[in-house]
Amino acid sequence: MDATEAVRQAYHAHYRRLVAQLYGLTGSFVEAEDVVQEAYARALTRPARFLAVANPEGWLRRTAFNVARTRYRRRWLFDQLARSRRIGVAEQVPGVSPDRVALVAALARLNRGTREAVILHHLADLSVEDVAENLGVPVGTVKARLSRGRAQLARHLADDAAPHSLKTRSSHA
Amino acid sequence: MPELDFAGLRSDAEAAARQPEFDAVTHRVKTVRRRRAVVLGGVFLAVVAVTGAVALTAGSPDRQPGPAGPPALREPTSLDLGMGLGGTVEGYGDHFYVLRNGQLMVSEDQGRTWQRREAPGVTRFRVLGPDLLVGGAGGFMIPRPPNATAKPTPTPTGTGYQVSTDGGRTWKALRQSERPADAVPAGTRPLSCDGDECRLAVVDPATGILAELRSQPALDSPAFDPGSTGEGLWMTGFDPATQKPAVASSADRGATWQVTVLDGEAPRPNPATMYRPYVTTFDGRTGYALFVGGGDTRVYRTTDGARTWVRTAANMPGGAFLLGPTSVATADGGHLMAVQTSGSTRYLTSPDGRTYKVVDLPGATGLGAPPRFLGPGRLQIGDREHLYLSDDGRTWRAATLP
Repeated sequence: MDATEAVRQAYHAHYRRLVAQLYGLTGSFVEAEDVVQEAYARALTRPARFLAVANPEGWLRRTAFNVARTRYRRRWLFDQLARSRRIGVAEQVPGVSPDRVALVAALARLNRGTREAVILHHLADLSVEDVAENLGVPVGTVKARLSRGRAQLARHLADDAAPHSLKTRSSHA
Repeated sequence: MPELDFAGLRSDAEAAARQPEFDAVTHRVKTVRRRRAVVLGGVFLAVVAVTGAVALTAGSPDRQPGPAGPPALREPTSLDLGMGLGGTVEGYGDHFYVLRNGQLMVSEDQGRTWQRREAPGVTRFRVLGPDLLVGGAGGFMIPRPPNATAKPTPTPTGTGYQVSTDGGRTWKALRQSERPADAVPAGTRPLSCDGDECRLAVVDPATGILAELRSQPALDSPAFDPGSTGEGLWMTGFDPATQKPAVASSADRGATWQVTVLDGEAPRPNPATMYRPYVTTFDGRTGYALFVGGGDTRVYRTTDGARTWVRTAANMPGGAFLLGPTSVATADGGHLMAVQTSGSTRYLTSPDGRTYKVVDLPGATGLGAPPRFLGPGRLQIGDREHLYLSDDGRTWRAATLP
């Protein structure tokens, strides 16, 4: 098969799934769409390499994660401000319910490693072993991150559901 | 309480994703290729422009002199103008620059007075020397707003970069020489650089010609942030053999490099990991390497120009939330960074990287912006409305903004 055609097929097959995963990772729908499109563009610049990969979706996800990580470094301050609630993070996305936007906002408050493990396991449906392989960490570490991540998410969501006065005070901090 | 409904999130997000035609991706390939072409050193176009003597290089000692005549020049198609956090102003020494409403404002007296100059087509720029500026339409893709219904925002292509060697009075197209530079020209600093394909590049302050440095430090995934150092030329990255974080330093303006591996750090687990240290030095000898992300905050200190590093017993105050990742070294060998505590933004200082305390900076209260270098011996803190300057990192004074 022609490499461009392979990328085109992968584009139709995986684009939306990848956007959903990167949305959870980056907390921004616009950013998610952009890094996923960047991953496909990179696939097209190395067509021979893309044809040789056994798992096109995995390759594209890895590339998109790498793009997001690089941008993350540059935007570290923004991320810190966002996590400290000095600026808002819950971007409203047409078609995504407020509860799910709240979940994305809670994901943004996890540390990077924990967030990646949660996204790969719960949104990309990877096994714990595959998550470990993707992140280059032991299986036990992934299990710990998932456990810690779920607990923190529940706590963050509970915090966000707390009385309005608390949220108002935080937003002015 | 909302539940952890990942299946619902996935379903909503997949349905909400707006999938453009595949052609949109193929068009984007050109931009990716252009970026690669530049950072890899690419294939030079045989566009020869006789612009006078190229003072950048005189050829390597271990190579035969090149043929007589000027080197081939080409127009760079992409530059990384975005590494590191930009400051309130860009600048070097006494000369400051800021874009306000599309107008370039220039001060040549540390912000006391400002003059209006033109910078057509420049929306992002970096200052490499007091009068040396490189600018363009930007180095990042600009995503389309989620609710945009009009035509997509034009994406900067990376072409059309310009250079000014006279403080923004005049501009001309930036050209890149095929002949590498032996060293960073005196009184200037290199362009920022970040990532697997990062190559240090400099601009000659007389001719305005861009060239890569001949000698590049042996680092994987290197990064150079000009706002983090005053004197000295330091880069960070990973040791190719061990994949442990490493710091490269040059005592001869980039002609030769010394790489020191931070052996106490774990190797990065895979090439995607970018938890590099952020390094800073005021005088080129005493400095800090700060790790944030990927574990606890860790601080290393050097007093010999980044050749040897000692992990300090960093004692970060509880509840302090770093507004980093950048920090700066101060003239007295101390360490300074912005920090958020409960309800306020202040600064974290240490005389030696061992113990830290939260303080307000005399003369620069109420801001949470990270301090950044404006070339050797000058630091700035600011936001859109305020600018504070320091010559030592300890005492600060207000400056005016246009």
